This record gives sequence, structure tokens and C-alpha cells, in this order.
Amino acid sequence: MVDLSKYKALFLSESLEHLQSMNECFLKLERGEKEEDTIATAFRNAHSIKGMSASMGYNQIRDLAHSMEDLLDQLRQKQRELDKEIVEVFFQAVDRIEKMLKEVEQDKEFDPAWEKLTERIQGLVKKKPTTQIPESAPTKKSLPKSEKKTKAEGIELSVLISPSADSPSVRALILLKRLEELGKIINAVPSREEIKQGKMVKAEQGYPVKIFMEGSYQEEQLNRVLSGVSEIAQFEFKQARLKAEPEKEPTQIETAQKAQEGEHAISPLPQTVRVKTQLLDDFINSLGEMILIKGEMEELYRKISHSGLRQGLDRMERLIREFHDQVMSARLMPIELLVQRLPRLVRDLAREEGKEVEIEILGKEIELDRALIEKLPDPLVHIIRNSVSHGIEPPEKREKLGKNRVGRIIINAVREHDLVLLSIADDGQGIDPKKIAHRALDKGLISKEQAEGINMEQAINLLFMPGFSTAEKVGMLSGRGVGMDVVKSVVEGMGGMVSVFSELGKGTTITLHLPQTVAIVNVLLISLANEIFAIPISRIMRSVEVYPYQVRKSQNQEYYVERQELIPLLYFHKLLDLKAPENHRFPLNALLVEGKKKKMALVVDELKGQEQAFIRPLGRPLERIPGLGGVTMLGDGRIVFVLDLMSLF
Amino acid sequence: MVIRVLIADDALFMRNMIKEVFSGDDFQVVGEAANGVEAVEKYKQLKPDITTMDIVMPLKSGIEAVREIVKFDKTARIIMCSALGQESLVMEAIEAGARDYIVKPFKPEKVLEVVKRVIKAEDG
Repeated sequence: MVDLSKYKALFLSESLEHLQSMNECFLKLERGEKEEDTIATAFRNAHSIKGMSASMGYNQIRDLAHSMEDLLDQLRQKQRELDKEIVEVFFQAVDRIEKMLKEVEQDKEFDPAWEKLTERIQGLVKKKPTTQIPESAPTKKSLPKSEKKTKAEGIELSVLISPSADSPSVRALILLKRLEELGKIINAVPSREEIKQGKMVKAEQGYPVKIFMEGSYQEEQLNRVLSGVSEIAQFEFKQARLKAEPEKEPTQIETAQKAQEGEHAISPLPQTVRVKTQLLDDFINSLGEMILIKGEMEELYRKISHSGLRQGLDRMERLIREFHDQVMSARLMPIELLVQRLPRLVRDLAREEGKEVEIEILGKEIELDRALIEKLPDPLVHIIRNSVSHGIEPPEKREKLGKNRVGRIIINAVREHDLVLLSIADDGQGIDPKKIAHRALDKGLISKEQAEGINMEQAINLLFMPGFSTAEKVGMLSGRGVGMDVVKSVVEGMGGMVSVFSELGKGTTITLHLPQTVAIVNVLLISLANEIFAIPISRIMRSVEVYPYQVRKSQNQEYYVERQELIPLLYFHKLLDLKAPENHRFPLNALLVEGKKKKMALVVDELKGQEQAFIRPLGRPLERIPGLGGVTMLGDGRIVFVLDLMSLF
Repeated sequence: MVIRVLIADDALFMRNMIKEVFSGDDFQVVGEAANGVEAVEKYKQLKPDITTMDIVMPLKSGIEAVREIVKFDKTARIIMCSALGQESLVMEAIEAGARDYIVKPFKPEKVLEVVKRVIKAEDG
């Protein structure tokens, strides 16, 4: 017996892909995009799920998928027209199967809801409006009353198909085909037509089939042919006189063929392999080890200074970097995977809220590290929910405002250096600072004085405070308590940031700034209070030397002046609560960095050089400390903290 | 003599399961195809002894693939893999030239039995 458990993961992931494809098909059909190919694709998806679940023994999923397949088949054959009820029931079925797959994953029992849904679909299938292909009456053509009575020599073969045959009629057809290779079949009972219509009679010992063949045959011939057909319980033959009978081949057969002959171009299948994320993580870890070892060898080189060693080290560095890039690119996945479920979500949410919303997704091909893709669905869903629930106005209100009745959400992904900017923009009512302030006041998050005269920037900050939720009603799909604060912490936890732009009455855009890669990073080593720290270079605009004449003081804040620009000067050791060194001597070493909105000049003690560092994440509790982004090991074995500038400002 | 097998099914999952059935010493899986077009190409390339063919596949149906393969090689031994309730399609495949069929979920013993018979019935 095949061990099915190891196929479970593959079964689940493939089934989900088929479900996703079906979702897209149904969305298209609902929008009125009548394509034959869409129905054919959905049909194929249902069929695949049916087959796979049958193989795994999940007969309930099989049955539900089978009912969908039947209904889709009717649509495909143009035996009925698509209507709202059918589309709705398809969506329900997709959702139900998705839930059942989760139940499979968790080894839970199936929620019985699937049964009613299956019955409902089967009911629809039976209630087919018009039968285009009239049910042909069984043609008992065994013996025509006509006068075609030419007698011929031949044999009568009596075959008994095994009672346990899966498909006795298919078996019978196979039998006929094999015998046709031997000689001419004059007649059969049940006839070929009847066999094709599945009209086999079951007797006690099996399914009897009589075949009349022209000519004479030797026993061995018949034995040979019949032993090549399985599920034959027994057979015998005798000489006979036959009545000739024109065989009529049925020409109308339901074929899957027409549906498959798609005229649209489908891109060739890429040569791909499924790789577990864990394996890629292991690759990165191994690479990290290699970098450390190389670092140790660099230290040795400083002592031994052998030219061959130098060359070897340089080549290794190149190889490691290449390998790293290759693994990182294997870790990259297109954002498409992240956003593909959103159209369906928007549709369901909009319906629930009585709003009309459409979503457009740009930049689907932009890639992100899969570790990030895994963490982003919840924040994204939350942002979309906010948009549909609180952003987009009801259709009538929109019309009154002179807006398009249908609200729009645009998701856009763009690459900028080593960052990916993922923005979610809606054309709804925008953020109303007064409303936000009111809410915050109610929740006791701010005082009355603070609530007055609140501006957009402050309102946005309030949104991100934990405990703030603007859900006035908890709908079926909204308001589950994932606040914007969680969105912020998830995004910042991956080294990114969230920015919000909103115009009252016009709409809101939320942008996630995400690092494209996560593991090996170029860092700048700096010393601060005799300690060494590493800062990812991507955050640093450049380093500068600050002379006294470039420093200005204003209201207790020092500024670094460059080309008439006043840049706040901050002492890094103060930010990290480290002991100040003896008086800073000019020129000061400062790093120009860009925070969320402003530039800053961070004064450090010394710049110690650049390094390619593999950054290991800190575990608890260290990861909670603002400013710490990880840890890395230098070539000489010292462990240094990697600073996370984003969380300091 | 090792029996060379070509597996055609659009689900990786199914192909893996079928491969496992043919994991014994008597068999060698020489190729896999994920759609009807690939199935025909690979057949022409590999000339396997046995081909398992899924009925519903993208780009070209299993039935059409059978038709083309049999046209190319009338001694081709193709076994259809079907799910329950596809009798008419299986029959169409048989008419197109497939030799036999197995139904999902299939028992490995059943598959092997069908294969053995199909192989045995080589044209003289």
C-alpha cells in the first residue's frame, strides 16, 4: 500500500494552486469576461483536485470537486448558461474546499457543510435547463427486422467480464478493440453503442458480452488475445452462423478535446523544482559559516602573507558572493504570490460592506525574499480591509461627491536600489485627523489639548499606536484586532518601514518600504566608546568630516551645515546610552543617514572599514531593544552588534 | 528486461505516486510529461514500452495525445489514468488507441497487473 502521508504536503500545495486558479477564473466570469478558455481552465482545475483527493482517499473533497466538475462540464458543453447563482455557488465551493484542505492539514474532521453544498450543486446539475443533446433512446440494434440476412461463417464468443471490474463497459470496449485486431466483429450483445453508453447487464457471475466474429480462428489466437485483457472472468466460443448487421458508430461523444484546443498562447512550462524554504535557509547558514571561515583565513593571511593564499582567498570571496547571490535569487519570489488572493478578498469585502470596489495590481513580477513574503499577508490584508471598510465610501455617496461609483485600490510594487516599495492606494475619503483625534481621545490615548489642532502627520502617528482601532462595527471579515501597530511592527521587524500619505476626501496611500534581501549585507564598522558596531551601508548616504565652522547651534540642537542645508547633528553614543569619550576632537567623523523624513549626521568615534557581513538575527529578549538589528562576527572572531538605524528614529 | 515507462500527468503529485508504483527492478521510469504536447514529444524521443496517460491535461488532452502517439507508433502501449465517472472519456481514449486504463485511486497491484497484461499482449 502506498504510503500517502509523504504526499500530503505536495497534495495540499498543488490543490491550493488549483483553487487559486479557479478563483481567478470565477472572478473573470463574474466580471462578464466570457471566455471558453476560462471555463475550460476551471474545469481542469476541478478535475485535478478531484483526482488528487481521490488518490489520497479524501472522498469528501473528491465528491465536492466532482460536483463542480459536472456543473463546469455542462457550462463547457454550452448545455447551460452561467448565472449569478452558479457563480456564487462556485465561490462557496472554492472556499469550502480551501477550508477542507486546512482541515486535512490539521488532521481535523471535515466540517459537514461540504455535504449540503455538494447536494446543492448536484441539484443544479440535475436541473439542467434544456437538454441540447437529446437523450438517445437505447438502440437495440442487435437484430434488425430488415432483410439483411446474409449468413456467414464465424464464431460466437461468450465472455464474462469479472463482477469486480471497475468499469465493465470500458472493459467490454477494450475487449472489442482487441478482438478487432484479430478479425471483423459482426455483432455484439450488448452492442458497441450500448457498451459505450454503459448499458451493461450484471449477471451473477459477471457481465456477459457476446461477440460474433466473421471468419475462423484457432483457440490459441483467441486465448492470446483474451489473456491480454484483464478482468475477464471466463470465456468460451463456438462456431456459428451469423446475421450481418451494419455497425453504427455513435458519433456524438462528450469530448474534452475541444476544450483543450486553446488558441491562446500559453507560455512553455518553466523548468522548475520545488524547494523547501528551510533548505534555502540552510544554504544561507552554510554560506555564513563559509564567510566566517574565510574571515579567519584573512586573519592568517595577515600573518603569513603568501601570494597563493591571497589569490585563493580572493577567488573564494568571489565564489561565495556568487553562490550567495544565486541562493538569494532562489529565495526571491514574485510579489504576485502575495497579492494574487487580494482580488477575491476585495470582492468579498466589498459585497459585505455594500460597496463597489475594484483592485488593480501593478508590478506583480517584482521579487521579494520569501521569508518576507511569508510575513506580509496579514498586514496586507489588514490594510486592504481598512481601505474597503473605512476608506472607500458607499457608491451613492461617491456619486454625490462626483467620484466614480466604483472605488479603486491600486497596489503597486517598485524597486528602488535594494528596497522594494509596495504601496496600497485607495481613492476613498482619506484620513480625517479630527475623527482620528476623537477616537484617540475616546480611547484615552491622548489628552483634550492634544486632540485640538491635530494635524495629518500627528493623526497618522496615532493610527500606529497600539490599542487604536477605528472599527465601528466588527463585520464578518473586518476588525479582527490586527491594528496598524501590528502592521508597523511586522514590517519594521523585517528591516523595513511603513509610510502613510493621505488627503482628506481624495484617498490614502500606504507604502511599505521593504528590504529586498535579508542575509548578507555590506556593513560599515564604526567605533563608539571603544566598542565596535556595524551599520548596514545601505542606510548610510555618506560619511563626512565635520569641522568646527560647520557646526551651528540653535535652541539646544547642534546642526551640521552643508551647502546651506542644516542637518541635525547627533552624537551616536548618546543615542545608545554609551559613555561619551573624552572630548570629541575635530574633525568629527559623522555619517549622513536618512531617516523616515529627515537627514541626520551621526557622530561616531572612528570609521573602521567596510565588511561583508552575514547578519544573524538576535533572539529574544535582545531583539526588542531599539537600535539593535542583529549580530555578526568579525574575521578575528569578535562579535559585534549590527545597528538598526530605523528603529532608533 | 526492464520495462521502460513514460508518465504523463499534469499533477506532480500524481506523477510521483505513479513513479513509486514503478519503483521496482522490473521498471525504469524514463520520462515524465506534464501536458499533452510534452507527452507526444517525449514519446517520440524516448519510445517507452509503456505510457501512463492522464486524460485531462493542459495544452493537449490525453486523448488527443494518444491519437497522435498511436499514429506515430501503432504498437504504442498507453494506459489511461482516469478518475471515477469518466467512462465516456476513457472509452474515447480506448477508441483513439489506448490499450487499457486504471482508475484513481489506484492500487499498485492493479496497476502492475494491467501493465503486465498490456505488455504480454505484444503484437506478434
